[in-house]
Amino acid sequence: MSRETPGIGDYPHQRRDDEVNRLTRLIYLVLGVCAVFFGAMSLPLLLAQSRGPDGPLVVVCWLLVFGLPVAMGVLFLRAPLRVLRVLVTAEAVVFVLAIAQWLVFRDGRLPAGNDIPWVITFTAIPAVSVATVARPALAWSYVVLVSGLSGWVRAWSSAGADVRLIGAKDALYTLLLLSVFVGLTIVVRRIAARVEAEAEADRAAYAESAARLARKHERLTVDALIHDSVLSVLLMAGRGGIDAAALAVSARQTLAKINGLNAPPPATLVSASELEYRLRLLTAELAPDASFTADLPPRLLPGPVVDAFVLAAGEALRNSLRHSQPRHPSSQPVTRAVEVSDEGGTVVVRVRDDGAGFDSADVAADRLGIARSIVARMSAFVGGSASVSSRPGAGTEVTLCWTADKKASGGEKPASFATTFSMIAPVVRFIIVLFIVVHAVLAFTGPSAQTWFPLEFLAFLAVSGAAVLSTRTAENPLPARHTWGTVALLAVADLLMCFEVTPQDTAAFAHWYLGAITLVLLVLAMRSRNRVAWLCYAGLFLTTVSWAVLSGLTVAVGVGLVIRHAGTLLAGTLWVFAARRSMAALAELNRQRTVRDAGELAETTAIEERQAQLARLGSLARPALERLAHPEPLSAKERAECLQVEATLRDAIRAPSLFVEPVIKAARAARSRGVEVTLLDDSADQPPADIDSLAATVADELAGVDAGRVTARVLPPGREALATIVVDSHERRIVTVTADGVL
Amino acid sequence: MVLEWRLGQLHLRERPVVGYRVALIDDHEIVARGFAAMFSSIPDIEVTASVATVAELLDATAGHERVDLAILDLRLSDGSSVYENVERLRAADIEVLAFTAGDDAGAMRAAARSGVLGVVVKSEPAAVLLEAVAHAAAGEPVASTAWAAALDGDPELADAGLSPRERQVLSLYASGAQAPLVAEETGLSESTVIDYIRRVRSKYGKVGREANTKVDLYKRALEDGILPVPGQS
Repeated sequence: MSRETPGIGDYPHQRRDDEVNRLTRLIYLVLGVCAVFFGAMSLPLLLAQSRGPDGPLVVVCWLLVFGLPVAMGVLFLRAPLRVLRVLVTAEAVVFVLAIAQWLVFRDGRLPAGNDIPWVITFTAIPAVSVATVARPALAWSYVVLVSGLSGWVRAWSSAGADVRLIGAKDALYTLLLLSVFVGLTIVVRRIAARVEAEAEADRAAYAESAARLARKHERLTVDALIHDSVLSVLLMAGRGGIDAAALAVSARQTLAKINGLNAPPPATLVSASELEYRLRLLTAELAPDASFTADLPPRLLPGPVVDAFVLAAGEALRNSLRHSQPRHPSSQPVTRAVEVSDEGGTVVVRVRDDGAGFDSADVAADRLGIARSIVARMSAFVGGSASVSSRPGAGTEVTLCWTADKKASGGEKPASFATTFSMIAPVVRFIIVLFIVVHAVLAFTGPSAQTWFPLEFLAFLAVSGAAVLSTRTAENPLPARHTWGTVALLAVADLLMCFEVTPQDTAAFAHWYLGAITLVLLVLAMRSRNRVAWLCYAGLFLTTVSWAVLSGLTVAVGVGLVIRHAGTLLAGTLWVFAARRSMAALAELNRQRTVRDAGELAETTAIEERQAQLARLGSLARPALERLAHPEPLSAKERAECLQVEATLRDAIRAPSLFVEPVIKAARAARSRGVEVTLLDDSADQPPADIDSLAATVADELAGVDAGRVTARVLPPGREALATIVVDSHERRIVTVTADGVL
Repeated sequence: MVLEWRLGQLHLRERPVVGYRVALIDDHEIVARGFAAMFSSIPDIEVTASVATVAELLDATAGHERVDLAILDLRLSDGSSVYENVERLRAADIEVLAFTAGDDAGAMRAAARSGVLGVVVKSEPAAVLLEAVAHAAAGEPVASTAWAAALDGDPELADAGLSPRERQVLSLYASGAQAPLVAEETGLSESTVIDYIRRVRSKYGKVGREANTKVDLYKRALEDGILPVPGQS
């Protein structure tokens, strides 16, 4: 069996799916736990209802219907998701078949008071399973199907008088209950996907701004150097009057500074051979018997990634040494191998042994911990991943991967409850309306319908009021006054109903208020009022049992009335816990990744920018500086050339958007004719869109002047004009360049 | 020592002016040397010191040397800021003319906010530099294209509360026009144009003095909040 972790694959989609899948896996766990509870609850019913010729078939159905979700719960972390999906499909089909089995093989009514078939006591589990993997439309269709079937079976087997009404009521109540759970499942899946999508966009924006900052920072560093040294040396050389020896000293110092910048910034990128060397050392130290092979083309890797590789490989190797001893001492000694290679741009390190291996189903906690820490170490980098695969008797292989990927990046704010709530508001409204309609039908129709006024009516109003009050505000946790208002209304409803019905009442849905109250308590649990919800449930439990005892019944009867609802509340509580945890983990993960990605992108960008700056500086100034480094007096021509280079460098810094042809050539030509040329660019980071025609205009103006001054300035963004050109020669004029042409 | 320094200042103010004493602050030796030779050629100007840092100048002159004008390089390698340097010089009663090698608009704005007489690019023709120094030594503001462009391009220029006329004059200077052309374009006299420039300088400097603390805070926030990001991997 192999433990799945993000593979190499097509990051970042792979990784994003993985986040949503985390949530899916947690839902499987909750389904499993709930299946155990409801399975146990249905055991007495099963024992009572499995007698008959189809008994073995009933037991098989029961085992499958409960066993499949329990299996999902057990395998929630271990099994590949497609296996879990197969289990879901099986559960969905088996559940329908179990109902069909009942309809085909059972034709009798069940005894009054015990007339609910076991098969419809846990409809939420198959419905939520389907909602976990299927598209919403399919999930809702399944909800309608299950509700209808549930009502049908109920009518089929009911001991009551008006079986159609009872069936309809059951269908409606099932629809309400399933809508709550399925609605939540669908909404939370959507939120998880949306959080991911937003995070992706934010990450990109964040990383881009970090990169821009880094680029600016780098440019400032290099520019400062140009300002300080290169320009000064060239200027003073061009002006003359400084002795050649002093100039040579300055020129040499400046060249040394430029060369100093050529060295990469410390501790950013290291050569791949460094990884090779450190892994070889590690292997020799930890497992001298292990074979080591390396096949890496020369490339650069981020230093922290190399560190992570070495640490994770070390853990994998130590883990192998500790656990891979063969079960029989007489067997062959374990052989181990460490391999590092480049597979299509992905650096892959494999640590392999042919030892005992393990089955992840019964893996010891510490080994699980080690596997997790290896995975965590590698996943801490963009493009990093790890997987552990092992089979008993067939050895263990740990694979560590890293792919350079600069596309994904960004920042993320955790989804607040309020945004979540606003997203699910339509679903909440639908469910509240359904809640009120269903309970009106349950309360006011049927054999006891004549007596509903006024107590049952008031109880209905109180429960409906509680449902509305508990969902009125998006504030979370639910504000105290809403909470206590809800609790008070529920208490009133409970009390009123104690006088309206008796515990002995066997009419279908006579005790509808218990389910209704539990549903409202479920809402409280979802609104971060877990403790209040469970305390209220305890109150409901105690009043119901006391009520039964006071009516001359046993405690067991009282418990029987109310215990079923504990399952609903438990399922809801677990569900909310799983969803919250998963969302928090998601937010944290995204936050970390954001910082990391931005850092990596900034690092790369900074290096690229520095190289671009150096290339320009080198091609422009180096020849002149190298000439100056020789302490021989300069000719007039050489001095003029120094001034030209100085001016060109200044243009590149102060007028980057005009530092294009034909302006560069025209400026040089004008300066050599003795024109004083000043180029300025105040457009900041928003240069004019049509820079070509502006450049042509500037070059034309420069070409037409043979003395005096020409100043071309790109204006700050937001002005009416794009640029101005002032010619101060034999004639004086100001040329204004707008987007539409020259004025 | 303190008393002596005060007496020195007192004495300095009362002494009749016979010539302007100018100091050069630039950490590039060849630059300082070249300019010292150049500016000494101006009548009435005496280059009395050529140092690499502001502290050096203040130490050298405290108590006994009068300095009318410091020609300050905007980027000194001792890690000092433009604000700091200009402030200290002005506190010692020394007017400042900023010199810059390239055209770092940010540094020029910082200088203008701190109240320098002007900002001049070192690569200007010798005649322009000499005129600028002569003006500044007499306490006159110097309006260069680079200075005007830095102010005109300041995203926070609105804070200075310039009148439309003042803005127009500044923009013309920023585009490279000199006083005669500006006068021609605006229909004002040259002396009125220069008056406008004087007002721009004083308004901008005033905002700067009020905002200095704010700007420093902002810069620190940038350093604390944003610049560390690239390092966090």
